[in-house]
Amino acid sequence: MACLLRTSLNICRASASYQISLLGKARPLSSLANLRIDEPTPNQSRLLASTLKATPLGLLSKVQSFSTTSAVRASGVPDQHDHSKIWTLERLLSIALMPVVPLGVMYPNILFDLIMSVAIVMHVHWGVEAVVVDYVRPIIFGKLIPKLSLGLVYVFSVVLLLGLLNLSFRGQGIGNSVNTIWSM
Amino acid sequence: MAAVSGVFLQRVGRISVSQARNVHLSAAASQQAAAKPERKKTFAVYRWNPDKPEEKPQLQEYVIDLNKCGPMVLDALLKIKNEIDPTLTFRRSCREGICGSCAMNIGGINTLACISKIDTSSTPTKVYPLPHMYVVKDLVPDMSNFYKQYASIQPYLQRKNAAPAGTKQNLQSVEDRKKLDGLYECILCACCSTSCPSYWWNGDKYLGPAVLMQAYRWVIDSRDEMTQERLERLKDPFSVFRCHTILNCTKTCPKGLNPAKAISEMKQLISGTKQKPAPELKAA
Repeated sequence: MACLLRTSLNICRASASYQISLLGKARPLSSLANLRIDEPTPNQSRLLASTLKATPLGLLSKVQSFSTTSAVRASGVPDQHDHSKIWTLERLLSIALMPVVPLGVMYPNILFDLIMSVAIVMHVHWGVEAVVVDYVRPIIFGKLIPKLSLGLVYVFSVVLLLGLLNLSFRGQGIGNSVNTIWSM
Repeated sequence: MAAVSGVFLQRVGRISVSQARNVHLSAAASQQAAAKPERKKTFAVYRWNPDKPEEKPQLQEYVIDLNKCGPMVLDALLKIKNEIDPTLTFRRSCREGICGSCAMNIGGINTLACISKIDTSSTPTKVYPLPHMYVVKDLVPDMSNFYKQYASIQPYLQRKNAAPAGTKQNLQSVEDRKKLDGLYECILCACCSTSCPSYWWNGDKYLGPAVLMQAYRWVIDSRDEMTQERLERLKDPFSVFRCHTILNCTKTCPKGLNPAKAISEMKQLISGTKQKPAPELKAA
């Protein structure tokens, strides 16, 4: 920094009207010192090879090879299970919840309570799962903790379901509980 | 003013009256320019030097006179680089919002420096590189992952029984062509992808709005026949479905495009709740 400052000052002595403020919080997202290099899978290698084939070699290829990120981290590699069905189900469930919850509160009975228990647990489970997958991710927490966290989500959902079923069968029911809270 | 011009007339007493009048006018004009008050503006620019990785990144402040600077943030950055600090590093090329090189975070918003007007208020304008990207130097982010992701969606026309190139035209009706409007204009500046929290957290597996919009551009093209294969490759939980409809992408796009809508169309096509319409014209 001192060196950078000195050169800058020399250059702009005439108009040296700038200051440097240190930014405590920020830190470099990367440094060249700790590169992460993942081995490409066969699929990735093929993709990489076909991409490279199209580009002229020589100096350009040398320039292109400079990177602070690993060669291919991109897309469509590890998890190939189909998420589209779950996505559709999530949307349908969200739409269904809009009439189901008000109906269940307006006309409390065991059938609506059961439907609400299952629907709410599924809805909450997918929501919390998305949050956990987003934030507790292997790139930061390693391999074990994300799996444990996901397991905890399932535990949480099972406990929630049991609690709601308990309330429906042995307590006064979900609809009635909401009404009780409202009347307090 | 009269006194000043009097002095002038005395000094140039030997020249004719008409010439003296010209001199008087130009002198007045130059005095007016000199008298214009300085409009100082502070730019706080993110600096990080890869040659000194032990040093933390910092915001370096530069003060420039807006009267002697073009209207856009890129003009200010160029002025700083030319006149104050040549070590300041950033990408720029077309200076008219068509190349996407100068994408950066200006005043908290991802945009192109060349088409973003300088905020003339007295508060300093903060300039950062695109958020959550690996920094190569100063305002230059490493785009290799972004470009690799773009390559992975195979952004080119694919037909199943293509005639040899140059022998036949691939026809497309006017209506079908209209479906590409708002998609093909993307310049891949990565402003949208780097404004997306999902892309920040899972940029290694989630493709991000810019790339997904291009994926949709080739999926919906009436001439492309690999639609199912394209959709099939994206059905996993990360490539598309990490989009949580946050809409930062659409809000920040410097070209006024709508990547979020393209992603929602993609989700519907992948889940089969929507089908790609048959081409109006047989392509070849």
